[in-house]
Amino acid sequence: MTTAKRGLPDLGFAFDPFEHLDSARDVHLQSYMVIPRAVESALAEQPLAVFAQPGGGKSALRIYASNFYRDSRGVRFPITYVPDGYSADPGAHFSGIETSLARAVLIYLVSYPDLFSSYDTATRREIKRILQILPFGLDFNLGLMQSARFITDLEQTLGVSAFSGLKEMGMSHRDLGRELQALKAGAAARPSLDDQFDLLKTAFGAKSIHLLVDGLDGFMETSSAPALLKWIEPLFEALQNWEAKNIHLKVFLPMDIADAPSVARFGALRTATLAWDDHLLAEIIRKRVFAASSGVFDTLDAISAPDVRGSELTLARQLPGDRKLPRHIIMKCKKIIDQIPGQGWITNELLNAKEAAHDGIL
Amino acid sequence: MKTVPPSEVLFKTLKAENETWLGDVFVPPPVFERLASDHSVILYGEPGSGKTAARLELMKRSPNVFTPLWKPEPIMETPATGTALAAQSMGRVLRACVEALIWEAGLPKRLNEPPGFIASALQWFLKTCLPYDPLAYLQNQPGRLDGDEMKWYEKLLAENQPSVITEQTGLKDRMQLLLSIVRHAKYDGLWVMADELERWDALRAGEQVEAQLDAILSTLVLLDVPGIAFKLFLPSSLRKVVGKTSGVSRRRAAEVDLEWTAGDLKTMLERRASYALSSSVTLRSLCDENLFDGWLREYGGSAPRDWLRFTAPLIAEFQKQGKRLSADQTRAFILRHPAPLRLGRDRREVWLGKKCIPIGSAYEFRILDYLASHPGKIGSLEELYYYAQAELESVPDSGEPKWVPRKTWRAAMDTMIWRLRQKMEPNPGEPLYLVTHHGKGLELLHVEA
Repeated sequence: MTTAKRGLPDLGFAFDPFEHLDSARDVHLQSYMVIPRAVESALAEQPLAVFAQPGGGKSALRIYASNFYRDSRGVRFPITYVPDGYSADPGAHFSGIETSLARAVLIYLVSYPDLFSSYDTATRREIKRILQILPFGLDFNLGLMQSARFITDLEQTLGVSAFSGLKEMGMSHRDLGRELQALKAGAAARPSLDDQFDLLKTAFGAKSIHLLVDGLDGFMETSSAPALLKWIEPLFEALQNWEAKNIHLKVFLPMDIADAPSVARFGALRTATLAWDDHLLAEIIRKRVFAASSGVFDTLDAISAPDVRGSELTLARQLPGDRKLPRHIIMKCKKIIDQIPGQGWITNELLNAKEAAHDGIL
Repeated sequence: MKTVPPSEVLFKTLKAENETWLGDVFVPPPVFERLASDHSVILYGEPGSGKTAARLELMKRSPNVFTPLWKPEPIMETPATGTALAAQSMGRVLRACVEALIWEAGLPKRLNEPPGFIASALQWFLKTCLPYDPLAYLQNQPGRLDGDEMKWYEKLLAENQPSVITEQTGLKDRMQLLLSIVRHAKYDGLWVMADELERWDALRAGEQVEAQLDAILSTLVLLDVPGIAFKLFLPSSLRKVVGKTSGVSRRRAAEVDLEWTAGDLKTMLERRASYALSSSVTLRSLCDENLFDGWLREYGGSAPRDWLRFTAPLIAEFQKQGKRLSADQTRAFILRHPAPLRLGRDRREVWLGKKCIPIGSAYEFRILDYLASHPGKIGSLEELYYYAQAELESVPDSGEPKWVPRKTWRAAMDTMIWRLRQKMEPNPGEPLYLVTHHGKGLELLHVEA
């Protein structure tokens, strides 16, 4: 018997469709994201709180939404704010949003490097004042921009993705860097956050701004529901003011605060729950298989023994109620793919292996 | 030409940092592939299970990844809590990274003439993360950098660079900035390795170290930087702390156990034996495989340390004899080199190698305890009786209140010793550990020092 594992190319996959549980590292997310109908509103022009269990796909949806808006070339302008640390200061979120906005502005300019020179001096100065709060300072980022060969270098350092499909840094980027460096920012104070949002509209043509907020519960201090609710309150307080200006807050939160009265208090805020059933989980597998096989097949049945039918639903149904989540179905598939022996395929035996065997995998 | 160390060294120097031959004899554990993924992974293992060996081999097989080693230590200043403790701990991590950049990465060659923004970032890390003035720090370790490298650092530190990090700069951005330097130094990514935590286990200081791991693994932004992963090599006892962190429960870091099958362990000792003897050998070609393998499985446990330790004298015997040990010779060898005995006083257990034997009776256990506490001593039955049953350190004189005539306890003592041998001796009829010296008493042999 051959025990060597089958490689991905042998299975017809260009990449491992079940490699990533962490959507931040998943470059293929956009090609196979499944969005339950209940949270399609995450992409709409409205403020929304999305609730989900850990592993329920909050971050994936946030990244997908950000990419979705980015494809509008900034007409629906995404700003992602994931707090970098915990601070009890009520203004901390707004400082964090300003930094996120500065990152988004720089990457927008890098995505369309000829744009900057078309602005009047006042606008250019205002942009420069916004960019001065970039992490590591503007000089560092301009230095990186001027020496980097690829836009990904800047994307990696800023932690944001470009708006256009431009891959390489060119002469226009060096010109942009020089222009920004040479420009005098002037003595005026940095614009307020509201003014910065306005600038995105006037200079970049943004019709709406989507503020995607995630990772609020990622700190020891905010692991309890009351502490988390208290921490996010300043953002909810700003909601109405923002809404009137077409700035939509999309906040991704853990399920255990979904029913908190303090969330319901903010009437403008719609809520949606990321919930999964067997069919949606099966769809997750199919879409990933379809993307990884470059569209050649869309079911694990294609790499299974002839008597295996409906493998995706079989796998989804095996998950107990509290594990009916994308994370667990991906883990389960990963384990199965890794166990396919050389020259072999998925058998009913492999498909129905006990759940315990799938535990503990990445 | 490589120098093969003596078999005694090869089988008993089981401290991976000192095993220069590790790469030649390494057997990857079943979880090695997962360890080598781009994700953060926590590898749990018992002492001697090969965690450090796995770490060293992972570093060796990942030359394109920068793999600094962080050895967590208690924080001497008042430790913070929550995210502030995570920040304090990450300060230690960053220091380990910067030290590794200086001493192991060969930055002057890798960066050569770095662009200004990288120079300013590196200057910030050198000035901020090292324990004292960076130039003095470099000069205080003569010989570790050559003249050109020293000049490179002197020039870098003398430049008037703008500070790229402020107090407001968050933890994730600091890691991101370090990653920028690492990438400019032509590495693909950064894996922070944490190891050598055993020394804090069960000590009060260990609680502080645990708190640091807890804080880091509960601060998700630290685990969400593409290009950076944590590879933590932890004693299994830390699972109770680490396993509850949000980093683990939300799968930012995967937990895996370092476990070996008997087949893996046999391969490991055969590989070392082949290396020691400079020829390809199997257990079968050294001795009676069934006998020796069965003995290792019974007493060697599931970690490499004892399997290798117990095999060391076999290699020496094979070399001395110049040929394979027959079944009788293998049996005799095992009797001459039984698994060492250790007492587990908390639970009244006897450990023969990795085999645990519960000794339920407190009296019986006190007999062993007395003999183990007096190595080399032959304990008379009187001594053992009064120690075990009457809890006296010495035998009372006849007529003293606690003195008991021999005939009243002799049969009970014989029964206790018989029971002990039934429980712990591989062959109770021919005791190896609890041996009788006729007319004198009992001695406990092969007690681990």
